[in-house]
This record gives sequence, C-alpha cells and structure tokens, in this order.
Amino acid sequence: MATYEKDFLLQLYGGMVRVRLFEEKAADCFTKGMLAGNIHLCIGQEASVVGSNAALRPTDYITSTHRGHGHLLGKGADSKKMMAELFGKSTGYCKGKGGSMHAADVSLGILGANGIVGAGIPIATGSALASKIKGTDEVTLCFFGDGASNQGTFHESINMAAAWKLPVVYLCENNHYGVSTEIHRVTNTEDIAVRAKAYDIPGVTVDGSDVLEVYEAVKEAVEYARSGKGPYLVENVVYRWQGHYCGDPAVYRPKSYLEEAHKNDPILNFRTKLLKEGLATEAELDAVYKEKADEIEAAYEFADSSPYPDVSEAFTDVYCEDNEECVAR
Amino acid sequence: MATEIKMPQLGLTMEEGTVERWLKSVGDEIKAGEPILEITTDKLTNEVEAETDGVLLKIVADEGSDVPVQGILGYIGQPGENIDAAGASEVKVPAAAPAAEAPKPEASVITPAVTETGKKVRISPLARKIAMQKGIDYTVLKGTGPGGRIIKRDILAAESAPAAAVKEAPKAPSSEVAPKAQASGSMFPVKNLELMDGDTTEKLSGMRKVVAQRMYTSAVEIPAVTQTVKADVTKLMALRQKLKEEGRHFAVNDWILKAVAKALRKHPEMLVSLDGETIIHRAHVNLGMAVALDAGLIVPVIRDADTLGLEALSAKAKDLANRARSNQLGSDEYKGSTFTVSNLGMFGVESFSPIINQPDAAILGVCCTEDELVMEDDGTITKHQVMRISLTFDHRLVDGAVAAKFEMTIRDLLENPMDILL
Amino acid sequence: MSTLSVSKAIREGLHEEMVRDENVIVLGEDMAVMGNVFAITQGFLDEFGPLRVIDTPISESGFTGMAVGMAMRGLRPVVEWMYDDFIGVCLDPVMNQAAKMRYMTGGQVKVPIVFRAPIGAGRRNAGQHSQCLEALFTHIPGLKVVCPSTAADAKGLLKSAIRSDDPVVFLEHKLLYAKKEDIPDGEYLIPLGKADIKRPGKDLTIITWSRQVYFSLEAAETLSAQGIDAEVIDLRSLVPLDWEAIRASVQKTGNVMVVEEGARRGGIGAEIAAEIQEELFDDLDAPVARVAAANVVSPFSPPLEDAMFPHPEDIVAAAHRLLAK
Repeated sequence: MATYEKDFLLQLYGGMVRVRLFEEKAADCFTKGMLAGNIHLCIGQEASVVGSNAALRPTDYITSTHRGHGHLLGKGADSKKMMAELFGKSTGYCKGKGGSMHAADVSLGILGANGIVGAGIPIATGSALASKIKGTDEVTLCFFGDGASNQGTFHESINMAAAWKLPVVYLCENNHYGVSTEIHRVTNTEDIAVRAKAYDIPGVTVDGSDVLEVYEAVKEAVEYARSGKGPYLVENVVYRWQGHYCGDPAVYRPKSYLEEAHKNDPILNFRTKLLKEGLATEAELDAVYKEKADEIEAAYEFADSSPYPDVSEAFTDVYCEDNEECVAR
Repeated sequence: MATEIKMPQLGLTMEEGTVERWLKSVGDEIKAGEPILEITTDKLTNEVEAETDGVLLKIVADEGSDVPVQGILGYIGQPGENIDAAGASEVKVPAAAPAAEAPKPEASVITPAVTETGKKVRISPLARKIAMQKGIDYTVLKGTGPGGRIIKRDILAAESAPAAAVKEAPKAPSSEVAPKAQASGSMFPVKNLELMDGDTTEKLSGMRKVVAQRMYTSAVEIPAVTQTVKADVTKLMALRQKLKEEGRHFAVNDWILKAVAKALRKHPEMLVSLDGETIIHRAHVNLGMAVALDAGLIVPVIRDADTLGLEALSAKAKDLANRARSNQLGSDEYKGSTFTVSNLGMFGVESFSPIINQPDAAILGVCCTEDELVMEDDGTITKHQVMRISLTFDHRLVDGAVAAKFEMTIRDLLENPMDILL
Repeated sequence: MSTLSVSKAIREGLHEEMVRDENVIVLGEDMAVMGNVFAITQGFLDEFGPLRVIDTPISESGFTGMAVGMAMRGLRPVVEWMYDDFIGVCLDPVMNQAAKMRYMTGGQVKVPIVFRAPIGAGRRNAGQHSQCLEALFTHIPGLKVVCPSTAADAKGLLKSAIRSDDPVVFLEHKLLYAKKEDIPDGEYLIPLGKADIKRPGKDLTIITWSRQVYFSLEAAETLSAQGIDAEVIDLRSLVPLDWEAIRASVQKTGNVMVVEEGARRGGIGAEIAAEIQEELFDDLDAPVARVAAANVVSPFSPPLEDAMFPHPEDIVAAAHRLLAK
C-alpha cells in the first residue's frame, strides 16, 4: 500500500465517499418524494466502481447498467448534471429525458447507463470493435452484474470479442442477487469468472470491496486488452447494501448477507487501513469527506433549483433528421 | 378561465342561428342572466343571456354570421384574461372556435345526414361536401355506392340531370326542417349583379333565408293551381256587426278559419301530404295561419281547429298572432299544419295565388271584402258585400273539380254564417 | 442508363458508400467470405478487408447490439439480418438501444446504422422466413423504415439510408432481387420520405410499396381496361412518410386502397387508413380499403401460400368493391 502515491490513495478514498454521498442524497430525495420513477443504488459497491475506473485513461470508454450512478461518477461525470438528471431537470445530462437509468456523457467516454439487463455488453463490444477498426488504442470497460451474465448477450459478445481479440474488459459486479434471485439458485458455477475458460480468455475473481485489489486486477485486464491480446473478464464480488431499488425492503435476503456487507464496507475499511498504515491523518480524510459532502450538497441545490425542461422538449431528439415529420406520423 | 358564450339550441330542429345584434361590446361588464346578444333562428329572435358574471372578452361571431348550435359566439372572463390560455380543451365545439384545426362553420351547419322523415342517409363525406358546394339536396338522391351509399358520382349525376334525381325519390319536406337546397342546382345562385348608385346589401339570413328556401322549394316542386271563387258575405258582415254590438267581437278571419275548418272535415281529400310515393291522409285539421312580421313570415298552427268553437278559435288565433309578433312562440307552435290560410284582405288585395306551405296540399288565400251591386230576384239593385277566396292546391294530389267543390263548401258557409256556427 | 438487378443495384449503392466513407462497415452472417447469400457483398472482402466486411457468428443479438456501440463511436455500420424474421432474436438492440439512444441521452449521440433484411412471401420459405414485418418497425419511434421496390430506388435509397444519422431499417423484398431494371448512370441519391407516383390516375388511389407495387400496377392495367383509372403510389419509405403525396392523391380521387404484403391486423394499411380518415375525411367517397395478407402464418405449400397474401386479382376485386363498379 505504501507503494502508491498518497494523492492517488486520497483520490480513491474521495471517489468512494463521493459516490456514497451522492447515493445517500439521491435516496434521501427519493424518499422525500422529490424524484420520479425509480432509482437503483450502488451503496456498498463503491470500491468496484471507483477502483475499476481508476484503471482507465480518460480516453477510454465505459458502458454501464441500471445501477449506474457510481460508474458514471467514477468515470468523471459531473455530480450536478447527474443529480439534475435524476430530478428530471433541463440541466441534467440528458435534459431530463433519460433519468437515472439512461444518464450518459459521451464526451467523457460514458456510452450510457442502460435499463435493459445485459444490453450494454454488445454495445461495449461494438465500441471495442470500433477501436480495432479505427486502429486506436482505447479500451472499453463494460460494467454488468451477475444477473446479466446469464443473458445471451454476455455469451455472444464475449465469444465475438475473444474471436476477434477486441480491446474490452468485461467487469462483472457480482452482488449475488438479480433483483431477488440469489445467483446460485440459477447458476451452477461457484463464480462468474470461470466462464472465461469457455471462451479461452483470462478471468479472475477479486474482492470487490477492496478498492486497491479491484484497481490492480482491472489495471492488468485493461493493459492486456490494450496490448491487443483480447478481452478479459474480471469479477468483483461486492455487496448491494440496499434492495434492488430504493425502498425495496429486500426481504428475500438472509440477515447474514447484510452483516457480511457491512463487515466489508469498502470506505470504512479503506479509511481504517489508511490511518493504520499512517498514510493519511484523520484531519486529511475528514477534509476530503467535507469537500465531497459540499460537492454533493451543491449538486442537490443545483438540481433542486433547476427548471424542468420545456414541454416541447418531449418531441425533439427522436430523430436527427426529419424529426418533426417522423414524429408527426 | 374564460367562459364560452355558445349558440343555444332553441327547439329540437334548430341547427344554426344568426347573430342579429350584440347588446354588449368587448370590455363591457356583464352580470349573469343579463342579455348579451340577440340571435335569430329560422323562426324566432331570441336573446342570449350571460351564464356568469364577468367582462365580455371577445366576440367571435360577428353580427350577421350564421353559427351552428353550440358554436362559440364569444367569451366572458376576467378583465385581461387571455382566451387562448383558457385552453383548447375547453373549446369542445370546433365549428366556430378559434382553434387552428377547426373545420369551417359550413361543415357543421350542413351535415344533417338524416332526412326529414328521420331516415338516415348513407352518403360519403366527399359526396356530401360536393353536394353542399353545389347546393344539391342529397337527401332526395338514391345512392349507387356500396349498400346504397350516395357517392360523388351520384351527386354529379344529379347535378347534370336534376329532374331524374328528383323523380327517383321525390319527397315532401315537412314544415319542421327547412329544406337545404333543391336538386336542380343552387337555390341562391350567385349572379354578381351590378350594384347601382345607392344600393346596399345585406346577408340573406335568419327568417328571411328560411322563408326564401321554403318558398323556393314549394314553388319549384309543386305543380300548383290557383282557383278563385267569390262569396257573398253580406249576411256574414251583418251577423258580425250584430254580435259586435252585443260585445262579442270576432274578426272576419275568425269566421273564415272556422268555415275552413268545417269545410275540411267535409273534404278530407284536401287534408293530404305527399312523401315520396306515399300519400299521407291527415287525421287532424291543423290550421296554419300566416302571420306577417317585419322580419318575414311565420305560420303558427291552430291544432284541431275543427273541434274549437268560434270563440275558442278566435281566442287561439289572436293569442298566436300576438305571440308570433313578439317572438314568443314555442317551437311546437309553428309545426304540424295540415292546411294553411293566408289572409291579405286587410290590405285590399283582390285576388292572389299563395304558395303552398309544405307539406300541406293546399293553401287558402283570403282577399278583401268589396261592395258590389246585385240585381235581386225582384229586379231591385242592392249593395252586397263580396269576398274572393283563392285556393292554391297541389295538382299532384288534388284535382280541379275536387278543389272547386271544397271551395264551394267554404263559399256556402260564408254566405250562410249561421251554418258556420252550427 | 444501365440495366441492373435489384440485388446488384443494392451492391452498387453499398459499394459506392464504402468507397466514399471508410466509416461504413458491413457486418452480418456470411457477408465476407461468401459475399452474402444474395451476392450483395461479393468481392467486398478482397477490396475492403476483414475489418470493414465482417462475417459474424450466428449471434444476431450480439452483433446487432455491437452495431449500436460502433455507431456511438462514429462508425456507420450496415448490418444484415439474413431474413427480417430473425428480428425475433435481436429486437432489443434495435427497439430499446438504437431507436432510443439519441432521445434518452438528450440528443448527445447519433446512431447511424442501416439494418438491412430481406422480406416477403412467395418463395415457399414457410412460417419463419416469409414475413413482412414493416409494421413492427414503424411502431417504434426512433426508427426510419424504408422499403424499395425498384433497382434504381434500392440503390438511391440505400445510399441515403447509409448517410442518414438515424437508424434505418431497410427492407428488401427477396423476390425482387433478381428483377432487372434501368438505373441512372453515375452517383445519385433518393431522399427518404419521398413517394413515387408510379402511375397517375383519377378514380382510385392505390398506396403501396415493395413488391406489391408491381402487383398494384398490374391490377391498375386490368382496371384501366374496365374503365377505372387507378393512381399507384409507391411510398418507398414508411418513416418518414410522404403525407403530402398521399393527401394530394386522396383529394384527387376520393377513393383509397392500401395494399401491403404484411398481415392485415395492425398493419401499415390500418395506420394510413386511420390518418386519412382523421385528416381527409371530407375528401373520402368511400371508406379506405385495405388489401393485405391474412392474419395467418405463412404456409409452406404453394397453393396455401398464394392464398394468404395479396395478388393482382385481389387488388382488382377490392377496387370493384370500393367503387361499387
């Protein structure tokens, strides 16, 4: 641990705190009835989203999922525009037209969250194919969950990426539950990474609550992909503290799951470690925390005070050309 | 939210009304229940009252314009209120509403896809549109489209061969619904007449338009014959004078109505109507009584006139005439005549040929009383009073001799007034 | 003028666009080494190489979804499904990804993909290889849907579809591929959303597209001999729809029929008929008629198949009913 730059470690810590505070604020707003629709929170999975993104270059790409706030923030998304999108405001990333499950910032290489489980996997693979066709060296990091690993798109995409040696890292965040269904009730293998063998690509399972372990594993995978050797499957074993959606009491899970989850709190454990190894002081960590708390509060203020989009906005952006005619009939 | 002022439905058959006069101007304050404008229908002039307090925000229908029932006439609201903001959803009848996609008012006015006998007409939208543009009464046409639907070619055929079209399905419009047009082209052809110095124009509308339509239809459709006979009313006038001196005043017209009612009972062949190829024998003696108004003409109906005594008949006639002149007739009171009497005697008219009030088969024109010198049987010359009565009848239904006999019955009654009373 | 088959015209259009723009990438089953089952991409592999002409595994869901990612990265993929029926295994990337991505991201991205697929009955391919699924696609906001009938149109429309920044479903009737027709020399484009009046007429408007254009023209000749002058409109593209062409024709004839090879229930005919009735009711001299395939599965046996989708005599009979002549 001492081999890492202090700034980098504080950055990882700050990144995780930022995601957690964002999610907690979103949950608070949702509970108060300020958000429409539905949100899926990644509280407990912060090490996975931050550690994975830390292994990427700014020019690299990611695809995300319905549980995507953290992935996007980790890739550098603006918390103000993220929060405003959750609020359905005109200042949101998608002018309020996408919401929580469809936030995107293509300029940052974020090819979108996605509301269809497993749908991001071929999109990431296509992005990797684009890099190969264009002869550029961007890697695409594809986030998905244990649930998506049983979609046909997972198998079809990995098969093609493996056959064509595409620069894509498949990152499975295995939080053990697809909505309410525990993974082993519907899957025979102990872990997901073992499936890599079927496509003759590397696969590794790591402790997804340890931000440095995640970082190291994804870094290796990204380098492997960037070097032209083909895809890589990384499985981050994580814990989903909340239910499937905000407000889901998650009665389908045993108590022991949450006990295990809290024991594996990626932020608390990382902070304890930093203090214990003397790599940061309480005051330094508190200052980082305060800075992130202020940012999220500002994001909330921004979102709350932003206007809703003009109703006319509902009818734009369906098509690039002939939008009006195509919308009319 | 601004409140719409809508064309009210005054009577079952009303389809449109004409804005006669706005009693309020835009910006005027208005109390609920206060009259805001006058409208005329085919028969009547009515005031439209405000439903709510407020200010007259906008006049949509200008004076002289025809507006379908429930069409928007204007808006009442709060001062400064924006009518557009009142919401398009509020504007339920698009015909005269300011909504962008509102169909032209005519489209709503001219869509009775139902004949006057209540039978539904199957007609394509295009055929109906063309019929209206050309002023063709499609309700009399026979369709050649699927299931007998009237389609474009039927309208075009009717236009080029009007007689054939009429022959296929003749009909007698009732007095309830004004016929829209005649099968032989436009009822009101535009001639682009030259206006000469001082000429002014006005829109043919309201009652004038209805009278025009009905007279035209009757004149074009009916092979009419007029026969005039002379009655010696000396005794009648004497009796009338005698009763007047006793304080019982009856108009000459009352006697005539009574005589006609009585004669009709004796000559049921006069009480007929034609509908297609069906002759309707009317059971009731419902006497139409033409009343001249400033705005035109209206024909209130004395129901079962034959069952009324002279006194009751007189009272009824007077009441109807008074209320006709003050626009207070109910819509049922000018419907359902089976025979009509038109009296121009008070204007000194010596003889005329009235136009039949459809669907009646005949109308009696009553002329003035004149003095005439008569040589009596004993060779003396005395002054008598005579009156001509002119019967116009539909020769499709009534022949000359039949009509003459009916007239003679009336004449006999008038000449022997005690028989009228018996 | 040169004479080309429809499939050769498509090949020529695709070839021109691949030469013009290196971002145009072809992918699908049997597109490279074999050069496509209808020889659309024959010779392309040698000319453009394996990164631009890609043989995919039989993974329609995977490679169709990949096209979305490619398009979001600035490429212009031209995807082929061997039959439009195969949309059954890859609808999500079309319906939920390609069609919606621009909108859901608030206009951040363009998804310029052409999804090509053969359609149509008459080749005795039975239930899973004979459908005309245009209506399925037109129901999805965000997609454009093009259905050429002639060789010249196929080329010009395909080039426009490839240059469009929107996802375009490009449906080619498999029984037209071999049809040889004149096409203009040199480069030309046909814009999406412009119908073609194939035959002017005054009594009846026949609105159609794809192979039914030929059947409708055949029917119009028969009707002409019987004194009925039918106008035949080839829509060419269903989204965008050339409403002005429809409006002008309906206002001229007052009698309208929509002829399609897809199933009648929920078909394009139903949609166009509804639009006409809402917008042009007063111009109609008769209810809008539909001539479409029966609401059944495409049968295999030739006499059965012929009975289930429209032929010229069905169009003629429908015209007689419509006009009561």
